[in-house]
Parts: sequence; C-alpha cells; structure tokens
Amino acid sequence: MDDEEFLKEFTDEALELLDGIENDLLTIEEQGESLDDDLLNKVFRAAHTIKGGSGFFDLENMTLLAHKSETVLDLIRTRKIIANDEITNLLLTAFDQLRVMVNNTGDVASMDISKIIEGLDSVTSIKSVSANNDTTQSDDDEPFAESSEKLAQLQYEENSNAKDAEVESSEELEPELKSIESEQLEVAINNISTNGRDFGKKEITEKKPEATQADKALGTQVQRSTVKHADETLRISVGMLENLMNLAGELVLSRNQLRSAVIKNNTHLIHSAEQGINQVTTELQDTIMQTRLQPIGNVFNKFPRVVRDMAKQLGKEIELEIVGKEVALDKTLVEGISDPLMHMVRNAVDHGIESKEDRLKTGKPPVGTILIEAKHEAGQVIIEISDDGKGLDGGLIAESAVRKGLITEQQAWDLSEKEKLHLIFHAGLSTAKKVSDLSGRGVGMDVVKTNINRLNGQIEITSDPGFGSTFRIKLPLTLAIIPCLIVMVGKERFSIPQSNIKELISIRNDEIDNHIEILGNSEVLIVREKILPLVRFREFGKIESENVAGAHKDANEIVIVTDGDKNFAVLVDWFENTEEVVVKPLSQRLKHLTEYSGATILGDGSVAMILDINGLAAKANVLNAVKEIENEKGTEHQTDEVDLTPYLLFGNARNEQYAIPLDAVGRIERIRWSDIEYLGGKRTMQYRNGMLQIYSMSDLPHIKEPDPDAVPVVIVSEVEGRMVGLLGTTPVNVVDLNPDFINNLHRRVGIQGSLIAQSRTTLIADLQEIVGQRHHSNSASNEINDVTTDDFSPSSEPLQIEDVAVDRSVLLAEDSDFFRNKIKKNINESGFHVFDAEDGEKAWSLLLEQLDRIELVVTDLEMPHMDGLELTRKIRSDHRTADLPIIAVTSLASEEDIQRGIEAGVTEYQIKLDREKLIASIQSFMKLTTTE
Amino acid sequence: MNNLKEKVVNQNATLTMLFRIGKSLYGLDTSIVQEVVRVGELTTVPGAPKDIVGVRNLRGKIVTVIDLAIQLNVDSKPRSSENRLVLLEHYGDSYGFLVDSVSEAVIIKEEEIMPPTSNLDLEYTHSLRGLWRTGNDIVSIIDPEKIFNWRIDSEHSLSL
Repeated sequence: MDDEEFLKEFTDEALELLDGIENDLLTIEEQGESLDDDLLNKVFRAAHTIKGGSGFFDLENMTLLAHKSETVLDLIRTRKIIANDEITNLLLTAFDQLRVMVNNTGDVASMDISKIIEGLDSVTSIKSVSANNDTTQSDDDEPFAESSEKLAQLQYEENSNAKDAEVESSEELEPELKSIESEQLEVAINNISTNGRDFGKKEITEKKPEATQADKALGTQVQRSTVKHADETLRISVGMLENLMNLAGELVLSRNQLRSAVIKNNTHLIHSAEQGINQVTTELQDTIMQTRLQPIGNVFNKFPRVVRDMAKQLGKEIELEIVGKEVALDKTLVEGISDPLMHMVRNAVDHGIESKEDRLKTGKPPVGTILIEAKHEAGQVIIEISDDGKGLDGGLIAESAVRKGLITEQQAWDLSEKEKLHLIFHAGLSTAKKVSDLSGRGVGMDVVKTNINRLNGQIEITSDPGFGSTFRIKLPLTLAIIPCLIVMVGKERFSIPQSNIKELISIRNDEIDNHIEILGNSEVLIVREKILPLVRFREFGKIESENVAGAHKDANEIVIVTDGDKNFAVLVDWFENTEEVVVKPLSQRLKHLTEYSGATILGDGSVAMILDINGLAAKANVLNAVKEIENEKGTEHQTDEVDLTPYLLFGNARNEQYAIPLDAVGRIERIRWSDIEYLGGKRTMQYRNGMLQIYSMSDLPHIKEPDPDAVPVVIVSEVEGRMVGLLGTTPVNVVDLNPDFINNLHRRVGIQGSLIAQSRTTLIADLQEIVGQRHHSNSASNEINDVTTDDFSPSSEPLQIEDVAVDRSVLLAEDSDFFRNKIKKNINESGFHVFDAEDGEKAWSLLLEQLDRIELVVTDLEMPHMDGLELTRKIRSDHRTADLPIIAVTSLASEEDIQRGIEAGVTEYQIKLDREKLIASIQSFMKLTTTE
Repeated sequence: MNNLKEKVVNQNATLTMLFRIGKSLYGLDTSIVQEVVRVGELTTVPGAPKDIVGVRNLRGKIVTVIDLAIQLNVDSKPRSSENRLVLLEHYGDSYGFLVDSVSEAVIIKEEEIMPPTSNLDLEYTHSLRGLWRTGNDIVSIIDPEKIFNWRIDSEHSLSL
C-alpha cells in the first residue's frame, strides 16, 4: 500500500465513523444525566480514531481538533460535565469541521479552527472551575493545577485508548500512531504548562511555520489523489462478494452448456441452457443491485440536527419522528433525493409548523410533529414528509400565483384544490409571507420537483389547511435498470416505465367511437365512468409509417399512464412485451426532447426510446385536456364510500343519453308514438283519467327531437304539484351514480350538468327547469285538464322535488365580467337567484328594488364608482338592509384589509379564487336564513 | 499510416478524410474522427429536429445520427449502400454524421487552404474552415467546432 491508498482508507473509515455522529450527539444531549456509555464511547472512538489517523498523515489541525473534542467527550463520559445545549453545539461544530477536513485533506493546514478550539477549551476550563467551586473562587493559577492533573489523567487514557485503537487499526499503522500521539501530547503538555487557558490557539500559531513545508508537500499530493478517485469506493460485505463469485461461476457453467448445446445443435439442450443463463442473469443483476443499495437512513440521519437547529433558531418546539430508515435504495437515488428532502424538511420546520403561541391559540399541542417515513410499496419506495402544522392553503397559493402573473385569475378559478397546491412547484412561487433567512437557503420547490422527476420519481401534496400537509414522493428502487412496457407505434418501438403505467386496455375498433369524445379542443377517452385525456402517440410523434406488427389488428391498444398528478391515456399501435431495460442517456442534441428520458438497447440490438411521462404530458398538452374535464376531481375521489344515487337513464336523439334522478320519477310508461297528441302546440297524452302534458328534451334549445325509430317512453313525474310526463326513448336503465361527479360542462337551463354513465357522456335533465322553460316560451298556454297528484300514487318515498328557489336571491356586486358570471353561475347552481351588478352603485339601487327578495350580499371590494367597503357601509346604515349578511370577496386579504372590512360591517371574508369555499359559505348563509 | 502521420507533423498539415454529399466533396480532419461505419439500423426519434435521422446502437453506445446534408443545407443523393456514418465524439456523446459516401484520406497543408469564396451562402461558409483544390475538384473543409455549434434548447422547461 502506498500513502495515497492509506490516506484513502483513512478518510473512508473516518467518514463512516462521522456518519452517525450528529444523531449520537443529539441523543447524548437528550439523555442528559442518564447517559448511555456505549453511545458516548462510540463517539469518543470516532474522535480518537481520527486523531490517530490524522496524526499519522501529519494533518496537525485535524489531530488537534480531534484531540480537543475527545477531551470534552471524556469529561462527559466521566460525568464531570453534562452535555447541555452549548456543549452539544460545540461538539457538533467540531465534528462538522472534522468532516470538512476529512473531505479536503489537502487543505487541512490552512483551515482556521481557532474559534472552535477556543470554544472547546473554554468547556474544559469551565469544568475545572466548577469542579473547584465549593472550595474557592478560582483565579488563574487554580485551574492551571487542575489542568495538569487533568492532563495526567488524559495521558493515561490516551495510552489505554491507543491500545483500543491498535485492535482496530492495521498493524502497519501501529508504531507511527503511538509516536504521533505521544509527540502530540508532549506538545500539548508543554503548551499547557506555559499558558494554561489558550494553549490551543498558541499551539497552532507556533506550530504553523515548521509545519507548512511538510504540509504543502503532502497537501498537494493528497489533493491530486482525492481528485483522482473521489468517492469511487464502495464497501460491500465479503458474503455478498462470495455470492457474486458463485454466480459468476454459474454463469461460466451455463455458457459452457450453451456452447456444447449449440455445437450439438440440440434444441432441447439450448433451451435448458437458455433457462440457466436467464436465471443466473436475474440473480446476478439482483445481487449487483444490492451492492449499490444504501439505506435511506443515510439521508434521514441528517434531519434531527437540522430540525433541532432550525427549531431553536425559530423558537419553535418540534418533535421529529423517523420511520423506515432501513429502506434501501440505489446509491444514486439516495444521493439524489438528499437535497430535495432536506428542502422539504426545512420548509416543514420553517413554514409548516407554527409558533408555539399560534399552536396554542388554535388548540394544538405546543410541540409540533414532523414525520418522515420511508416504505416499500409495489416495487417502489415511498417517502412521506408530513407535519401537523398549518397546512397549505390552495386559495392563498393560487392568489399568490395570480399576483405574480404566473397564471391568470380565470385559470386559478378553474383549478382544483390539488392543482392549486401543485402550483408551489411552479418556478418563482414562494408561499412564505415573509422570506426568512432559513427558508431562503437551498432550492425552490420547482427544483425539488425537477430533481425528483429526474430520478424518475413523482411527488404529490395533500394538505388539510389548519391541520398539516403531507408530501409524498415515489421513487423507483434503481435508476439504471427499469422495468418497462415495450410498445410499438409505426415501425418503432418505445418503452414506457412500468412505474408510470396504471393499466392497459384494448378497445375493439367497432367500439372505440363510444369511448372517445371531444371536449373543447381535446380528445378524451372514457373508460368505466372515468374521463381521461387521450394522446394519440402516432399523431403526437407525427409517425406516418405503417404499423408492421399490427397490420390487421382489430383493436386499439391504450396505455393508461400517470405522472403522479394526473392520469391520461396513450393510444399506441401494439403492446409488445415487458422488459427490464438499461437506461442510456440521450446526447446533448436530443436532451431538449423532454418526452424522452433516455434510450435503451433491446434484445435484438435495436434502440428504443424511453418515454418520460411527465415530459409527454407537458408536450402533448394534457393539462389543457385535464382542465376541460372538470370532473377530474370527482373521478379521483371515486372510493367505496361515495353516496351513490340511483338515476334513470333514457335516450333521446340517436346516440344521446340523458339521466334523471330516480326519486323524481313516479312511473315509466312505454308508449307508442301515436299516443302523443298535440293540443295547442303542446304534446299531451291520455293518462289515467285525464291528460298528461308531455315535455321533451327537445323543448330545450339546440336539443334534437327524439329518434322516431326508437321505442318511446314517458317518464311520469310531479312538478309543482302537477303530474307531467317527460318523453324519452329506450333503452331505459337504472344506474347508481355519484352526483358529486356532475360537472358544469353542459350546464344550462333544463340541464343540470353532465357525467359519465355506462361509459357515455350523459346529460342530467332538470325537469323543473324544462317545465319552467316551456311555460316561459309558451306563456299563452291553453289550460289543459291536468292529471292531479291525487290520481297518482307515488311510491312509498315522497317525491323529492327541490324548489326552484327563484324567490331566494343573492345580490352580487363584482366588476370583473368573468368572475361575476362564474360566481353567478355557481350560486345559481346552488339553487338561488342572483341579482348582479358591476359596481357598488348599481348594486345598491338593485338592492333597494329587490329588498324583499335579497337575503345575502356578495361583494367584491375593488370596484369602480362605489367600492365594496362603501357599499357595505351603506347597507349597514340603512335600517331596511342593516341585518343582511355580507360576504366580501377579495383577492387582497392582508390583516389591514380585513380590519377595514370588519369596521365597515363585512360579515365574512372569502378569497376570490377559492371557489369551493365561497360557494360553501354562500350556501351556509342561505341555510341559516331559512331556519330563522 | 505512420508515414502519413509523420508527414502531417512535419509539414504543419492535417490528414483529412474526404467524403461526398450530393455532387460536392467535403473534408474533415481525421484526428477527430473516431471511425467510419455503415449506417446500420436506425431508430427514428419522433419530435427530434429535422436533421436528426435517428439513433443507432453501436456496440452498446447510443449514437445520434445527424444528416450532414440537412445541417449544411445542401442536397444529397438518395440513400444507398454507399452511405456511411462518420463518428465523432462531442462532450462524451457519440454522433454519427450521415454522408453519401467516403472517398479517401489526403494530407492538406495549412497554406493550401483558401478562404471560402464570397459568392457562397453565408450560413454555409460559416461551417467551413476553408476550401482546398485537388485536380478539378474543390473540397469544402468542415470546421468540426462549427457543426457542433447548434442551438441547445433550455433544459429547464417546467410544467405545472
């Protein structure tokens, strides 16, 4: 072994020793008087080994620092002092510095460690003072004597420890080690006897001149060597190595078998040899993979220190829980995830957990909790960072994104809660109200996401405002080899990482039209009540060549993929097989193609591009399609616990499907077209003892007449105490649907909205509105001998018909056309009438006109002519309106604004961009007023 | 070959390989050429810039194949068995430049290289070190730095 190798061995060992030190020190601090000797000895040994090794390489600063740390540790070990906060901090800094030194052995001589040494020394001397406390107040001479005594004791321990070290260090090291130590000690003793307290400082300055020469020579040499094989070693167990050797042996055997089989041209033997090779390869791959696996604890171990330090600095109390340290990941992944995780932990401490006072105010325990958990799940590793802090508020994030011009107000309005949370991954968005020096460090959340995506991972956020948030990261076990599905498009093959694949489906050519629809500008695929954006890969990639494999295929092959956030469907020509592929990076020239994460070489030697689902989603504009699918939120919440409501499905024009809540249906009568009579321009039918007025979906504008070739049915129902019939066509069917899924996409008079039933877009008929619509358009109606309710015996359940609450109205003042229309529509959907005005003045006069109908005022604050505050004051000062609840809708919500609003008489503040909360609040106010 | 190398060193000259694209002859300093191979099986990369013909596997390396004719904006012959890839390495990546055919290697002395004539397209001359006359033919000597001087799109395009 030459010096460089020695040094490398030393630094490797030192780093290993230093690895757990931080947490050990923190535990020691926690233990206080009930100290665990084994733990302390472990730390002590680390300091000691480093001292010995660095002495051997003449790294004097390092030796000194290690020695000083050891001295302090010894005082703790002998219970002379207790590791309090200050001492722990000192030791942490000292070990940090040692780590820096180990990593940069070439620069050790030039490092200034006087401050740390001084600190450590003061601990040693304070101890001396306190030991003497009961006798006299110490002066300079007293501790001096004490120190010498101490040193004698130290020296003794040095020797005994040196013996310990002998066992650990290699035989060759031994003599040098000893001599260095004694030499060091001598220096120390000399110094201390001349200059008790600051001997550390002196020693450095004195020693420096003679040391530089040698250090320089060694330093440069060392530096070269560190550059040469920086971090290139990996420790693996001998057992594993033997396992690898065995496998290599088996591989040779299998090859020989194959060779002889080929020579004999015996298919059977070739086949069995192939199996052998197959098995050995898999095992070999697994074992080699394992050598690269490292426990995630290597990263997690950094967090207790960070959390402790930051919490102290911020005056917070935080308990950190770590679960699953042993979960192992590929080395590159462990290294790659370190920074993003650190960032998120810092965020959790800085922004997540509230101050003690705030926590107490909201009734939470004063000590916040951060939980970091790693676990295996379906061949992937899941890392979750959750805190019980204030959580993330989607509304505030969206608001801030709008203010920074990252998205428009309109876009923000349309975002789901989850999408709003995910805005924090947008570059240039920080939710922190104030930038603290702690959070300013490190990387932004956009970089966190980029880094995680680069590791083929995904990140998701869930948050419960007021109760905390959870960041969930999914990572593959390894980067180098990933299981993929190979698909064919045109004559090319592409690989899709299995981790991105949700499911594979085939849809026959003659059925595909029923599954693909167009929403806005996007094509969507409908599978089992779910709507997914569809990417036709052939068109996306402008691939024109004929498909080789599936020339005569009669089915469409679709891969449902996920980028962690959103699911979408990719239409390909052909599924080929699944294969574990070795990822090769793309050249610089192709790097900008974010839809690929690399390339791989398949079994036949050809190259297949590996799809990057995140990149593909962005390039193929999946996000747009997701927006179009407003019920995306609904599909995600599809769990077993949803409240399903039975709906009656019926047809109208060809390929149209409608639904009506079953509980609004009294009877269904199959009729003939000839049963329908026209009286005074209205469809009627003889029913029981009278005439039943028949309505049709086609009474609504732009809806076609029922298909005359289909079998007609009449759905008999009750509207406002009157029996009415709704015309439909077969097939009629009852299905359970989740009303939460109804989206507003097709919302208009007579249509509540739409959802997917039996894989088809289905419009929900609103019979009340259809009836009302007919009355409006046909006001001069002849009286018809209506069938009365009495003639009709409804099922045991009463017919639940909501009132068309035209009497119950809300006044809306908002100057932005967009928001006025949006909010109006949403309030309408809650069943209330809206009087809207584009400024305060108009709103006020509207209010006076409709005094007896308006029960709630919703007002924007910033408006021309008369702003929201003035409107509020006006309402409050008039006795006729003074009691009206007023919701102020605003995008500015500083404490000051809120105060001004409250002074003016605003009942409640709502952030403009939080659609769900706003509507909920309106609904609750309207409910309140009914019960009154 | 050794002889040639000596000559190169002695005469302040470069050993240049000549190849054809369309009707013209081109030259490239051999010292940067890794090897010349047949085109082999190419995998097209949908979405790639139009001068990228595809990628291929060469002994386990992924080679990005660039149509030099498109990059130089000149006409090329239809594909044939004469087509070759001239392999260069650039920042650790392997690139294969597709040419119509490869002819020979010649020694070109520095002083024999003439500046590009002014009637040539500026974008074209930008890629050249100069011109060299051999018999009746004029060889355009390609500046390897220039052909790698493509615009690299921003890597950090983030999506929501």
